[in-house]
Amino acid sequence: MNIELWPMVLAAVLLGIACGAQSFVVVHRRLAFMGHGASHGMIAGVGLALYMHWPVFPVALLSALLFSLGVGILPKRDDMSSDSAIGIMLSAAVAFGLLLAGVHEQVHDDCGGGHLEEFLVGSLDQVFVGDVYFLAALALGVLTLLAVYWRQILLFLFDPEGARVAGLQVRALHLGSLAILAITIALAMKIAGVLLVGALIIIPGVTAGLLTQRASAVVIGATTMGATAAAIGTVAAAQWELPPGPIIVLLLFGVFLVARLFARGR
Amino acid sequence: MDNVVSLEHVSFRYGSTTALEDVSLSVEAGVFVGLIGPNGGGKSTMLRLLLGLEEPHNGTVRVFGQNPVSDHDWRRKVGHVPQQREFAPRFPVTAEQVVSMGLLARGLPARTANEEHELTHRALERVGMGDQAHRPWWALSGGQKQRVLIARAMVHEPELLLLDEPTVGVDARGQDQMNTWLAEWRKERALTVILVSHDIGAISPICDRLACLNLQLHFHDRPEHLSGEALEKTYGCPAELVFHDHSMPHRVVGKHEH
Repeated sequence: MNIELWPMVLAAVLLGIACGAQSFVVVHRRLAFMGHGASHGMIAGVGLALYMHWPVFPVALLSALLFSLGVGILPKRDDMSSDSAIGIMLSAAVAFGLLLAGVHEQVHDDCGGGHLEEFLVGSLDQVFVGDVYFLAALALGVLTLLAVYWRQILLFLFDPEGARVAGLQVRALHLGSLAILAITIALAMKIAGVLLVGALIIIPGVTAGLLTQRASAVVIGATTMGATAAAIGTVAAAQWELPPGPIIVLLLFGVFLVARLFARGR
Repeated sequence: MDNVVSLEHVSFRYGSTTALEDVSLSVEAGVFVGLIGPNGGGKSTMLRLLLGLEEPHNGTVRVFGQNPVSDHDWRRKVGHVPQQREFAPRFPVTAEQVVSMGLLARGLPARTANEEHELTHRALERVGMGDQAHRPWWALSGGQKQRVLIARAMVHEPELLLLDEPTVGVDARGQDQMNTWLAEWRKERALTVILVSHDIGAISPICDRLACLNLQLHFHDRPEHLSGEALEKTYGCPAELVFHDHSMPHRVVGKHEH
């Protein structure tokens, strides 16, 4: 393997670990649509960053955080369902981002700082050594939180009201899981792309859940699946000079289909 | 005797819909209260207020002398059996994991993994589920799930047990078993019990007091003192009740106009 490819593969594996590990929480907390919405919410941040010539990652991260926490708080205040709030904010964010990116490309022919398309489907050209450190910290953080608060997380997912009665900080757990989800999505943008990152945090948890009925085994399976698909997808993308996001997602989707057939046969 | 639970002039609304109106009730230590009333009469709302899940719009709620919303020490003294339909049916946990969740209440002493394992298995044994510890939640029958939830509520040896319709989906044998365990636990320690039920006939023989709730509290006394008038006020129609306790079976009949 080309030595220059290692940081990209390592970044992808760490991303796969972070996404796969929290996939269990995302699936059972019913945050799948939220993840999809927050990733699309980043289009607003990417468009704004390109238009203003700001660094893309921090602005995209901020927009994902604002999206997740905004949706997490809005329904409480306005008696609006979460999926309606996500649907409205997702559309507005995509429209805003596309409009700004369109104006930017009309004004600037050279498009310094990148094209919107690179952030939509992911690009290995956008992955640098610094990303590996961020992703290592994220993967370590997610795994540590899961290990330390495992039983509290199980109670929170299984019986949220029981968790409140026990005196757990359910609101903090909810907003904390949304914030980690937003950070993961922002870090995943370069590799998987805004349009496809949602799949990385949904498919591994669902697939592992089809194959085993132990919560800890679901997390281990989803983490392994996410890391393996990310590694294979990145190497294949470099080999064939294709964006990595679609390859990783199709690999995960293939495993999901096989698991679905296997689970049905049992 | 100290009140374990007290509600004073409590009112609660969901939006513009009144769920409880000026309800006052106190429960002393060691007493078993059967909370009955029609659907939408405020029974579950009262439990939610006692568990700190809702705050009253008027009045005060105290559990072990504490405000259940802002205080926390009461949590270690309370066991709660919620309605089964509130759980995700396919969540990947075992019976043992569900029971051990009862040891996460705030204020409980720190225990080693071995101690927790022992307590969890003792609670499962107690409800006849010792050999089912490793079975997944989804593979348990309705009655077995109920037993696991009762074991979870009792694993930390609470002083107050709150049960919300615990016999829904449970056969007659399962109901009898639950009544036996409740009687045993009450004999062993001064366990206070508040049990929400829609089945007056089943709850009356086993409780010390009946509380009839339909937005307001229409009766709170020994079951044998329950009049047809109080029942009629609670259910909004003539009602009758047959007691199956140790005394002579008897019937309380409301004034029927037909």
